Amino acid sequence: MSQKISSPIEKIRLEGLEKSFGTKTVLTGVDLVLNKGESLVVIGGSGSGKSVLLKCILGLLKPTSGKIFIDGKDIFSLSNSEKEASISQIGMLFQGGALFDSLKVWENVAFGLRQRFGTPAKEARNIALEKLNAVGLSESVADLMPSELSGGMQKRVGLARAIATNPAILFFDEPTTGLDPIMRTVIDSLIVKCVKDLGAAAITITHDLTSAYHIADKIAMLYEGKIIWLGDSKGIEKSKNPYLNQFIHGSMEGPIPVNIKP
Amino acid sequence: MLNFLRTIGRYFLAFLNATGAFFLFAFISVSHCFRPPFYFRQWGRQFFEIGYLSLPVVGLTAIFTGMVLVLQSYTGFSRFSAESSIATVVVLSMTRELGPVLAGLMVAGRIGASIAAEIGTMRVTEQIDALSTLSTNPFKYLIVPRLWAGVIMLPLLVLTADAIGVFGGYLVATYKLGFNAAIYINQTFTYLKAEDVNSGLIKAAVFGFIITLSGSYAGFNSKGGAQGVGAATTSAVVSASILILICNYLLTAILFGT
Repeated sequence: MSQKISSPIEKIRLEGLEKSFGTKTVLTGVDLVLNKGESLVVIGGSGSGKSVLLKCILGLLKPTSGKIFIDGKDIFSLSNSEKEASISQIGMLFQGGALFDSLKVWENVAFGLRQRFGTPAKEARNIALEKLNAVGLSESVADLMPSELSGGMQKRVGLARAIATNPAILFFDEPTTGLDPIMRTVIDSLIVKCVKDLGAAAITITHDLTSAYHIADKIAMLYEGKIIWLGDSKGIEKSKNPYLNQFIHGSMEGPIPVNIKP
Repeated sequence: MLNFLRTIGRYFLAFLNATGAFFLFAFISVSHCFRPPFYFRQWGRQFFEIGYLSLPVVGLTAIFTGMVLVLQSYTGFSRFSAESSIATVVVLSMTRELGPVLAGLMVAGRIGASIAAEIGTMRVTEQIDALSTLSTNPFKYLIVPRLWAGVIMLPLLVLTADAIGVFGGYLVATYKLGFNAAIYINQTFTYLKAEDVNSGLIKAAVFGFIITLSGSYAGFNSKGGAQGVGAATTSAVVSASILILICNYLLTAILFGT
């Protein structure tokens, strides 16, 4: 770790990011910096705006106000093609995998390569097999359809697809939700390995704390559309922040209201 | 009183909002139709699905329509000895009106629903978001191939439907009602003009656009899991059918206005 501290290269910076849907405000001013080689985990309850945060950076949602910088460039001041180029260096693993169910597994993994670089089919297939191998899947799944795979395998194919173009930034949306405990550890380890191999900057959103400790260099907690705590993953237990404490201990007592009838 | 006006206002604004969103979506979709890249593999799949796989449904509709037309017009025309006009009535009704409208409605049920369900499922499972993150424009990849397939394949389907419908009429007229085959065929083509067929094909192209656009719009904007996809499917078929009936009247008024 010590050799990296020299001068961190900034990949993503968010300034005062706000997003509302109609009268409902989801993000109320998020400030965040992510450096190269850094793995940030954003934790927070359901509906705290974690997914919306990632979708704003990916350009899938337009923020109400605030700025997003990728590689130091404000993406809203760029032309469409420059903006696309900035965003296309982000690889994303979606919550449900979001595999294209009309395409075979290898075509899914090779999709970004073929679309972005126009890689010929044969070469793209070889890279796809290599990436499937990297996430622990054998060549025999390459010609199956995504619906023929189990949930854990689909997640791994999604991961292979996210890293296929060797992206400089990786996003993971609840990578371990709905998996058994062993598969969670497998996915967590794969994420750590992929991020390290690519030297990428990564943002993971999750409410699974075991996986957060495993993946994170830094942890941020999102509550009511703001980041209320940010620190390294070792400091989290010692924190005095009452919101964070309630969340990590899963307690019903505390400042976060629990909306259930007694 | 104020409450009443407020309700009207709210519905009116919601209506304007929805109409605006639909036209904006149509505009964006059409603008992508003429700009590369084109995903020709997707085009092929849609041409096959919308054109070829709709043939049985459209053909069956057409043959029974042609057959029943002959029976009905025979009942009426025989009362004043105008049986010789039956062939003309059948071919004109098929090509100008029933071919495009019935094929349009059948395809709206078949294709409009399947487009809305497929794109809607892709939306709620985040596959459309995934396309964007993999350097692919969802409009170009998903919607443009369907729009082109609708606009090109529907006229071809209607042309087939016209032929099958007329043939159905011919079968009933000659085998059941005892018409002379040669005379019936001759009468079919005597008064048929190119514009009768052409106007039907223009209608078909417009209907193809309406069906694929309604399906895409409903699917693309669906939200909320299985229920949302179901609602999108219904709204795609209903709005496509209504728009087809309205546009059919407008097009007829324009094409045969003078």
